Amino acid sequence: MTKDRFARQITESIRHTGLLLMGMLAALAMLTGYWQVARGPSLVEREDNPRLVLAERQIPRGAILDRNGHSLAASQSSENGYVRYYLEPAAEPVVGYYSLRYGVSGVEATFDDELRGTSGRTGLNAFMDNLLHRVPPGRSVRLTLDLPVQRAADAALANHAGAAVVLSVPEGQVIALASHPTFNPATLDDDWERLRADDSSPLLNRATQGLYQPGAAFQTIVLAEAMTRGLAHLTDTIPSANAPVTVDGTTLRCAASPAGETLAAAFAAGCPAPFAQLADQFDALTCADAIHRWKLDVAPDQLGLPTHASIFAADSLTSAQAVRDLVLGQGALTVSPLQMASVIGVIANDGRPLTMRLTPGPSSLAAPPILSSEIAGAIRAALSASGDLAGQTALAVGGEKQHAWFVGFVPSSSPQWVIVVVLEQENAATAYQVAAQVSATLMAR
Amino acid sequence: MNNQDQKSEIGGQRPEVGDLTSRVRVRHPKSENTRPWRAVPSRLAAVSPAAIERALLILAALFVAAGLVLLALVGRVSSVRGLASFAIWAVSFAAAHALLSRLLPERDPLFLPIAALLSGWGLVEIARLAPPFLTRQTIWLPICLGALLAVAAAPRDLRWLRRYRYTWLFGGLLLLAATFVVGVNPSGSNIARLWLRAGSLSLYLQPSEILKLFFVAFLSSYLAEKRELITTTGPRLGRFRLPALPYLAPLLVMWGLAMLLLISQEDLGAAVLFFFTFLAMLYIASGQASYVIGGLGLFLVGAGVAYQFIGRVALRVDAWWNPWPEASGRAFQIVQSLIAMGAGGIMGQGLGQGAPTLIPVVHSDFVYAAIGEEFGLMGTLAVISLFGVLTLRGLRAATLAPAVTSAGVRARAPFAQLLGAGVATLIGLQAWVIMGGNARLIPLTGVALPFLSYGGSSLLASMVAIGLLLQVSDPRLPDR
Repeated sequence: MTKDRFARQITESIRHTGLLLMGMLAALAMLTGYWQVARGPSLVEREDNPRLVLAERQIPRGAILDRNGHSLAASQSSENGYVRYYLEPAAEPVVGYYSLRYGVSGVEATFDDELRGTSGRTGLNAFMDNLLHRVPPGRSVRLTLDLPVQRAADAALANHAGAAVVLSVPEGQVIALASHPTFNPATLDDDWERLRADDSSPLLNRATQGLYQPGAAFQTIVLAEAMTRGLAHLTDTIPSANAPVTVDGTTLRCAASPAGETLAAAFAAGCPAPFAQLADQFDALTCADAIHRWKLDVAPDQLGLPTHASIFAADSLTSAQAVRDLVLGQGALTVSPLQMASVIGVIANDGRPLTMRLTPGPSSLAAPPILSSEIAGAIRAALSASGDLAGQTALAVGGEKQHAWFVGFVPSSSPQWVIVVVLEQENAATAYQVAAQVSATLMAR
Repeated sequence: MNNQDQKSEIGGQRPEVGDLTSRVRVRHPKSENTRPWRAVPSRLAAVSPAAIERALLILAALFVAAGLVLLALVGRVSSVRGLASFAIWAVSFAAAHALLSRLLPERDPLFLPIAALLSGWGLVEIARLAPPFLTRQTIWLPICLGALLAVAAAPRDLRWLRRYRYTWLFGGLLLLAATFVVGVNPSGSNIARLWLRAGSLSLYLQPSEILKLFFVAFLSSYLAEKRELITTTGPRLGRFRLPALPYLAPLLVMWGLAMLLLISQEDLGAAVLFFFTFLAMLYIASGQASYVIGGLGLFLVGAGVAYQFIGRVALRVDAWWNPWPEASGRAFQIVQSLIAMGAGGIMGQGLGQGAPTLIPVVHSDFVYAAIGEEFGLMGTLAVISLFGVLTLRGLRAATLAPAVTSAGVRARAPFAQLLGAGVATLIGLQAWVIMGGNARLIPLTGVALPFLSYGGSSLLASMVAIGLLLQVSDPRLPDR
């Protein structure tokens, strides 16, 4: 019967239509699942996801304080959520930045979990916070930084490019850590492109990441190693200490004129000649061993700040010339100011390396000595001067650039702090003046 | 509502009905259906449809109430307005449930609860995404349910719809044409003036939403009468028989007119929907897959031309094909939609806890993505399932649609079958087109997600569609 045939045909056609529609909905379900589950995380991490910024603005981020409780950075609530304020431009190289667009750096990055309040939660707490969209209150972070000293270091650097580091002895606390040129984190988002393109690298923390030729500042290690091996004595007479030394066509001279004819005087003035002679008695193995023991081949990571170390390969010391360059601080090795602070710290701390730290807290076990306290004491005596500030000025001539170092400690009789200053394309006297200003502030406290 | 009332009706002892019909007034023999997908689960069959419907409506009410309470708790909507919206929603559906139990006692018990859940969820979403519009959408709800009941209360043979098909369709086309003259855009914009303003009330009507149903009714009526002629009298081409042009022509003219109006209004989503609904109904009526293939070919050609010459089409297609390079420009909406869905994950952020309002015009075009963010994959799968069940039950009702022939013999009514299938296909297709646009399955088109999107006309059309499905689903024979 035709009616029946048509009824069957319609039923069949409706069934096919239903199957097709269900197939289409199934495809939709699968694609939705793909976006929501498989691609979900990568979609959420996209830079154009405004949720990330919105979520960040909800976080009452903890403050960053100096050792006496002065606020260096703090968050305040506003209409659009919390806004980060930076209260101490001088402390920027340590504090770093917190940008919704460009992320975090410095202490803001190191202690991000504490500042956001996400550290120290139990798994259950974290789960419940996440489920209920509760924002944990951020915790403040207190640093060992001493704001007046930091300000003095920052002011002393003025418009020189360079860095200054002050560590306490024997705790190894970072008292000041300045780097110039620097940046203003409050306007970072606007300045970013300019800062990135700037040849003077204002975003680089020169104190921890800047790598410089040590030049004569390397003499401390050479002297300590030579004295330990009995190759040299501070009382040795050096007749022509201020004779120039030529390395790779570059002439090295004393950073200051030596106050006498002993090795001690030549060392304090950063004269290269006596160390060029000592270099003949060093071999590659001794150098590599010294560099390793003084930890110049590893980045000092105790602070949690981004630090750099030069990649030093001991097997690059294939010739006597390479060893001589290294001993004179003009070789393959480059060091950061923080590393040099660690070196002078050994001298100031009777041969024991300092354990560097950025937050106060129970002091850790003293590190085993790498130098006898007698030799450390002798080197200290050699560096001592009439005032409170003791130390060595040094020059490094790397390529076409000359850097000036000051590596020393305060006060000269019983060191409580070590000071390291490096200035790019400046003379040694300027470096000494910077150190002297910081030292004056330290002694006035 | 009342079981006593129902039984007396189901019993079929209504004395005023002529004896010819009372003789055949027996429950529709379900056993006739051997297909398992059409079979009614036996346990459900034992319970009265009204009881099932009531239980499901209570579940829907719990969901909607929970949603509004949550939004009130997180401060997204004031308690008073939330409560008022819920009360109007609940009273409307309770009244509809009670009246339907008298009008159509053997209706499919799933249609009303699904419509209630989706429209209630829609209210929750509007309260969440565009709180100022909540009042307006809530006012629409009783109006739309009134329309649903009016359709459900209409004579069961639906002759009013069948006989005056040209009148209805021309009425709809006239309304659409009127937008060219007095059309407005409720947002005040001057570009897509697709609405008519109803008097001094700030209620706007979008004729293309209503036209869709008139169009389906027209097609059902026409095809029910002429389908045999179309498929059997056409010229032969080898093994194939081409459709008979003289009988197809009125159809094509009407369809062409609708398409022309929509395309010149740049209401492209509606145009696409019309095209595929037309194709689906032609296939259902004729059983000729070749029509579908030919139609798809035509569509591709048309789409290619539109891509070349209509800027908006090119924009939408480009943004769909590769949105990533232009994520901050032309493809901003779709990329933000995908990010919102990604942010939802499996469990969702929780209602009121995500940020779906970052997507432009989220409350009308991206409700699906908003649900994806706050309800997660569970929410999106629930929405897909609800539309899937609604479509399947609609198609099922269509296959079972009864009628009485002139000889008084019980038979399937082609008109009711085509109408039910057409309406079910329309809802399923429309939901798929906009959800697929949100999920980058297909290019984005600006059609509303039935029940869920903000918009009175869309809600009205969806509720009327449910009214038609309810009519079709009642297996009692229509009065002649």
